[in-house]
Amino acid sequence: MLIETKDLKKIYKIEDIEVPALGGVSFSIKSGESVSIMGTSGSGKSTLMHLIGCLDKPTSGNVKIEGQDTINLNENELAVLRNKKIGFVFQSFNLLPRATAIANVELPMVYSGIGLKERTKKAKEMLEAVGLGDRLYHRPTQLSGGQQQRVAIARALVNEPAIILADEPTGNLDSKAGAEVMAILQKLHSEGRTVILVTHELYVAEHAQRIIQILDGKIVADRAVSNRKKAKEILAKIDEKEENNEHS
Amino acid sequence: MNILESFRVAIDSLLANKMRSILTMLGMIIGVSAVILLVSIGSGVQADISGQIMGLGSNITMVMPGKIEMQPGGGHSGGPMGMTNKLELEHVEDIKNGAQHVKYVLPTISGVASVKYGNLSRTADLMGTTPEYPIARNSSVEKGRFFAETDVEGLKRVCTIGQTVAEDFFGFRDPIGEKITISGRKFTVIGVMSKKGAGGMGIDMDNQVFIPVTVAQRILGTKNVSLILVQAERQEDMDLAIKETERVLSKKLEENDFTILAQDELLATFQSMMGTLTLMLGGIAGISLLVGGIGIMNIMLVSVTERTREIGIRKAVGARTFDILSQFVIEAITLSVVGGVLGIIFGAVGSVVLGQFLPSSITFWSIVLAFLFSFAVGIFFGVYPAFKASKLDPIEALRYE
Repeated sequence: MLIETKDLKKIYKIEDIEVPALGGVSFSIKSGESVSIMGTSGSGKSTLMHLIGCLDKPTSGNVKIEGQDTINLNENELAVLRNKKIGFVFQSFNLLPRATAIANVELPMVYSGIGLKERTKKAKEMLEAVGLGDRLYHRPTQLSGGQQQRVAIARALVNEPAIILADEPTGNLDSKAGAEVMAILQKLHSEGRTVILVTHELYVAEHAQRIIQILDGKIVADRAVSNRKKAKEILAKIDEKEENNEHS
Repeated sequence: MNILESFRVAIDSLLANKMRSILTMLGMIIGVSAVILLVSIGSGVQADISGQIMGLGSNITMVMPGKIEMQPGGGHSGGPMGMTNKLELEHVEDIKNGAQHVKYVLPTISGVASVKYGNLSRTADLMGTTPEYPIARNSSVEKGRFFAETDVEGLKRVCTIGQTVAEDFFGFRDPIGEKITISGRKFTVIGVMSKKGAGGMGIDMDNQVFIPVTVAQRILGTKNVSLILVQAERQEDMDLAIKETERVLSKKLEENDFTILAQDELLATFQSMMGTLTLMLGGIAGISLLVGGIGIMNIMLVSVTERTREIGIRKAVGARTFDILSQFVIEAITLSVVGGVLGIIFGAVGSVVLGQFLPSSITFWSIVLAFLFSFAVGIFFGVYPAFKASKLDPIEALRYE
C-alpha cells in the first residue's frame, strides 16, 4: 500500500474549545491509483489532505506512507518526507511571486541538495513537459492562471514523488485552463503515478477512478467512478466550441 | 540546503527589495563609518599631540609656575589659575649654576602678538627665549642667525622669524636686516628659522617670531617667565636633573610656586586621557551601530511577516527548520556586513578627507572591530526573526494572505 490511514482523528483546540475536524478515518490507496477526496467545505477534507501530505500531525491514529509510520517523525523528518514523496498542487498555485518559473520548479530540488546545473536541466525538462518551454524565465505575474498551475505541477513532479496531491487544482481557473490542468493530471496518472485530487465538486472528482466522500469528519462513501470524465475530450469540445464561435 | 544556496536566496530577496535593503543598510553604514571616523580622529589627535610632546626633545622637562598635580587617570587639579607666577630669570640662572646634570635651561615667554611690515600685518606666536633655544629644541636657522647672548643682555630689538612670517611679509626677498613692528615696537630681522611644518590642530609651527627673553619681558611688562625648559645631558640623567632642579628652586621658592613636569609623565597622562576619549567617541558611535542593528531586526521581522506564505511554500516542498533559519540569518548578516563594508569604505574616505583639516589616522583595529561588530549585529538581530520564521506552521503559513 502506498498510503494507509488508520482511525485518523484530528481535533483542533481553539481557546479551550475542542473542535473535531476528523473523527476516525481509515482507508488505503494503492500505488498508481487515481483517487478523489470529495467533501463540502468544513467536511474535513482539507484536514485529511494536510495529514496525508504530512503537513500536519493527527491527534490520534496513523498515516503510513509506503509502509512507513509518520506518527513518530519530527518536523524536519516530515519535511524530508514531503520533499521526496509528495508533490503538492494548490488551488492558489502557491508559487514564489518574485521567482521565475524555472526557479520555482527548482525549489524542491534546492532542498533535496541537487546541484545547480542538474537542477536547471531538470526544471527545464519539466516545464517543457507541461508545455511551458517558452516561459522558463517568466515570473508568476507574467503568466496566466493555467500557466501558473502548470508551473506548480512541474514543481510537484520534479523530485519524482510517489504521490501527487492536488488540492482544488482547478478552483481558480476557467473551464478551459481547468481542463488543461486536469488533462495533465490524467496523463500523469496514465503514466503510472498516484494522483490524489481533493475537491468539493463532483464534476472534478469524477476525473478520478475512485471517490472517497467525506462528511462531518467521516467517510460516508468510497466508490469507484463509473463514468470517468476524460479531460482531453472535454478540452477538445471546448476548442471546437471556440472555433465555432469565431466562425459565427 | 547548503550555505551557498542560502546566500543566493538571501541576495535574491535583498535585490527584490532594493530601496528597503539600502535604507536598512544605511543604519549600519552610518554606524560603522561613524565609529571609524571618530576613532581615526581620536587616535590621530592622540598621535599628533604625543608627537608634539615627544618633539620637545627626549630629555626635556618643563618647570611651570604654580602647583599642578597630575592625576593617574588623567586630568589635573589645583591648576595655576589664580596663582601668581613667581618664576623669574634669576631662577633660570640658579638652575644653570646649581644643577650639574642639566645641559640647557631655557626661559620662555610666549604670547600672541601682532606683527607688521610696511602695510602688511598679521598675528604670530611670539616666543621670548635665550640663544640655546634652537639647539635644545632640535630646530635650526636657515638664513642669518639666531640672537646671541649679547642681544639678550643688551636688550637688543632683534628677532628671528618663522618661515610663514617670512614668506608672508617678504616673499622671495631676503628679510635679513629688514625692520618689522612687533606689538608696536620696531625690531630688526636677523634670521629665518627652517621650516617645521604644520603642528597639530591646525597650529602653524612656522608662524613664530623669536625675540630675546629680556626684550619680551620688557614688552609684556613682566619680570616673570611663563615656562622654563630644562634639558638634561642624557636621557638617563633626567631623574637626577629633575631632582637637582627641584632642590635648587626649593631654596628660593615655596613648594606650591612651581611644578616640574617630566615629559614621559605628561605623555602618559595625556595618552591615557586621549585613550579614554577615543574609546568614548567610539562608544558613542557604537550606539548608532546598535540602533542600526535594531533597524535590521525591525526590517527582518517585517520581512518574515510579509513572506509568511513564501515560508509556507518552502516548507511544503521540503525546507527544514534549519533551512529557513539559515536563509533569514544569512539575509540579516548580508545586510549588516554589506552595510558594514560600505561603512568602512565611507569611514576611511571620510577620515582621509577630514585628515586634510584635522589630524586623523585610520586605525586597523577600528576597521576589524567595526567589521566584526557588524557581523555580530547581523547574527544577533537576525536570529530572532529567523527563528520566528523557522517555527511557522506550514499550514498556517500557506493560508496567510
